Amino acid sequence: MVKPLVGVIDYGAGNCTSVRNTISKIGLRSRLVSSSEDFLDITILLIPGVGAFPLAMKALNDLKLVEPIRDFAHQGRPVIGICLGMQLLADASYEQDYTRGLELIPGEVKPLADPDWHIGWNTLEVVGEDAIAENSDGYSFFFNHSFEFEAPSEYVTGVARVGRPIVAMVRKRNVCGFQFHPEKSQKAGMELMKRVIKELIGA
Amino acid sequence: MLRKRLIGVVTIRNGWAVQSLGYHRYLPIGKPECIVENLDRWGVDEIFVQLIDRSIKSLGPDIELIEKIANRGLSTPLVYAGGISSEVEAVSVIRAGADRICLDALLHSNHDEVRNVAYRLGGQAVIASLPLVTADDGAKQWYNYQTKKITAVDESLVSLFKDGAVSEAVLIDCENEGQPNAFDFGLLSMFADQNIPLILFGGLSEPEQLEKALLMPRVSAVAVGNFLNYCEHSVQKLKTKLVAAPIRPAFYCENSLR
Amino acid sequence: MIEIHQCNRCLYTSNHPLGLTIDDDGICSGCRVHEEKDALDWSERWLGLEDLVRSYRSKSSSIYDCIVPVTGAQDSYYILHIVKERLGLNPLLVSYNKYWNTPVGIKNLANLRIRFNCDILIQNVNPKAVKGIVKNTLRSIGSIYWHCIAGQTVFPVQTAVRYKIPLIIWGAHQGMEQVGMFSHEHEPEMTRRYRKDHDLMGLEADDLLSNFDTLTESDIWQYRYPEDDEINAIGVRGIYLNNYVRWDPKLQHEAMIERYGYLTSRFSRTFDCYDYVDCYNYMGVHDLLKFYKTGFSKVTDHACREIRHGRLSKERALILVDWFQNQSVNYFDMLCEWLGVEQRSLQFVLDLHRSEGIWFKNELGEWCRNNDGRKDAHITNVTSLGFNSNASLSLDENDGYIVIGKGWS
Repeated sequence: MVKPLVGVIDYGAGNCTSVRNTISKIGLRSRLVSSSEDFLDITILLIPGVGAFPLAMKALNDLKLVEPIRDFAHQGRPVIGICLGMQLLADASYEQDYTRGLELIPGEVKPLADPDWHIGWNTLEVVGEDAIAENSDGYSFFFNHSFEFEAPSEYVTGVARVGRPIVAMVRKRNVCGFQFHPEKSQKAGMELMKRVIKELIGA
Repeated sequence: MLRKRLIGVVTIRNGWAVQSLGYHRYLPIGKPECIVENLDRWGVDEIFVQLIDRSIKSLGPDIELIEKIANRGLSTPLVYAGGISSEVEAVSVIRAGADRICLDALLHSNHDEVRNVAYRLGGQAVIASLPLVTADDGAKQWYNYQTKKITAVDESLVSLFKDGAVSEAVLIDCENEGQPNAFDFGLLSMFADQNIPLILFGGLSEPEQLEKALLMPRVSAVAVGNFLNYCEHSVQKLKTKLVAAPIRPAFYCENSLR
Repeated sequence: MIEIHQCNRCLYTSNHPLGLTIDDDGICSGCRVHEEKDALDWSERWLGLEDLVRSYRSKSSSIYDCIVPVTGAQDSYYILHIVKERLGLNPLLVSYNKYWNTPVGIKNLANLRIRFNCDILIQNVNPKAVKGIVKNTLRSIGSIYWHCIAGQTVFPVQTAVRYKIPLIIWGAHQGMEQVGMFSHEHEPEMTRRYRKDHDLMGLEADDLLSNFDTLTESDIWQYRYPEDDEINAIGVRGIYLNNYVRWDPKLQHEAMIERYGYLTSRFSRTFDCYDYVDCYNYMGVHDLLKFYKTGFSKVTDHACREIRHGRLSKERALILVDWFQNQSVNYFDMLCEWLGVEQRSLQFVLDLHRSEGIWFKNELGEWCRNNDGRKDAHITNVTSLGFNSNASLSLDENDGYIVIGKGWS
């Protein structure tokens, strides 16, 4: 059986090194994906991201990655978005200029308000009936964002609270996203990634 | 529940991790990547790497060092400070493996560029480093370590926070840095009217001080540097004593094999 | 390109392998921390030590109060003198068998155990593993001593966990004594980080596995540090006596010679007769490698120490260092035999580690050092320095390495 290969989208926004290190610690191989040719042999697609939504979508468009990513997802193949990468899965974002996203999970990305930032370790509350992350319920993960993916509740699989709940995890079948950084959430993050990848590949 | 953070600070001078005492005396500690790797294993909440000789020597950020640190499989959030003077440099730092950046020299020289950086990376990735001293008249002032001059905190700086270009401010007690149990909480009076999340640093070593700081509503994190190097599991030992503070519990690694 | 600066007081420069800072007065961090020795109240600091060990005193004499790592040299006698005679603790001695043991070292270790009447555990790692590690670390990082330091620093910690004895008492913190890594008032303790960073040159046991294809798990597992949860469960803690006692190795050794019969020896590459008498290679090939890689030998460390204690002038120190560091190495053939290599082959590998910024070959193909200000002094008599030997490494026997001890009771 061929060992799974994780494709990490490299579009100049955010650091791929940390994500690839976590993947390697899990025992899997990874490859950087920056053109449509790189999608060959990829088992799972991972979209990391730090920075602004419009610039990120522009970079994906410039690299002609938007359609290949959409096709990959529409074929039922697993996609994981992390932080900005999760937000990019949405229909659109209000960050800076209103910008269309990858449109893989319904919902829009809007600014957080009061507080304006969500920075630090927060407890993940798993919601809904998706078992993909149930073992991570109650564990802390590192968040660092100022915009939130407002998705319909049927796609929200995890929240964190700052008084009110903030969407922390989303999933629509083979596509899922984490608002927090599992690759920078120490042991809890690695355990989550391990389980999620295993679950998505098996699914 | 959102926890507050205990940040481990690694001060680097001439490529070597050092203890910094009062911003003028330095004792060697070791290789930066070994210190960072160790803090990672100890489960500190965030790692702050500050290179204190880059801007003075007109060197940009030390990308090679960040990559060396990141390639060790760091799994803790990393803040980088030292020599960032442009949006391009800030992006390269994130790309190399840091999660957030911290600015000092640029805050004195070019606020427009600070805004450019924030526009590109998001304000949540930008932190302001504010070394502070007490002037002869008792007033708290902002210290420019390059010119060695002190000034008041001006409106332009405050507006960077108000406009969301900078998400947190590190208040550094320069004079008491390296002195145990010495942090001057009077420094917080400089930002009494602003709603800026604060990270406190410099002379913080004892659980009582750390707890006092973490229970203050405006304080989002405490940063400890020198004092984490004196004994084994110093991060865990501190965390265990911070019973009242909203902080992640101590963690003891069971399997550090990579 | 980082500029290299010299300390105005001792012989160290800012590119010291342990790190060294030089202040605005041109004095290095090592010299500055050394100044504390004459400024601190040592009787008060001794009380602090007594206070610290109090909670570790076992209630029953059949339970050990602490672990003391020992060898047949270094500061073992003095450490034990403090632990047993002055603090009245009941220690378990532990020692790592480094293979290259000299007869005088073995006799010192036996005498140590007998005179202080202590229990001792000795760790003996199998020869295949040790030789494999030595060959690999020699080839890749120019070190034959990795296994010695790894074993000496980890066996006490493993023993602490296995036997549930939390307190480990060491002598001097090398980083403090040499380069002023910490102030005495910081009271630094043993950390896994320091061991990996400095003692082991950035490589722990598992890093050897991933770096070298020829080593396997069975070769390195003995050098693996216990995990954090194991260390925490026992409360393992390593303290350094030089934080609480004014540390002066020369005076200490001389007191131990007189009181307990500690044996010493001359070396070809240094004037100090007291350190490292237990090993055929520390002041031999190991010192040569240090010289090749850094431009410094152990004699520089000894000289800086004596300058700081006010017993040696910088001018005389420069002459001594220049003389000793260019002397030949003894027992080279014994190491070759142990490794199973020709002398020329070993020298070839050693030469590969000569640092490019320090060494070059002249027109005659001889190795020379850059900026080598040879003093052309001839030193025959160092007794005026006050270092006296009362034995020799091999005790005038024809034995090679003593691998398993011979009977002195």
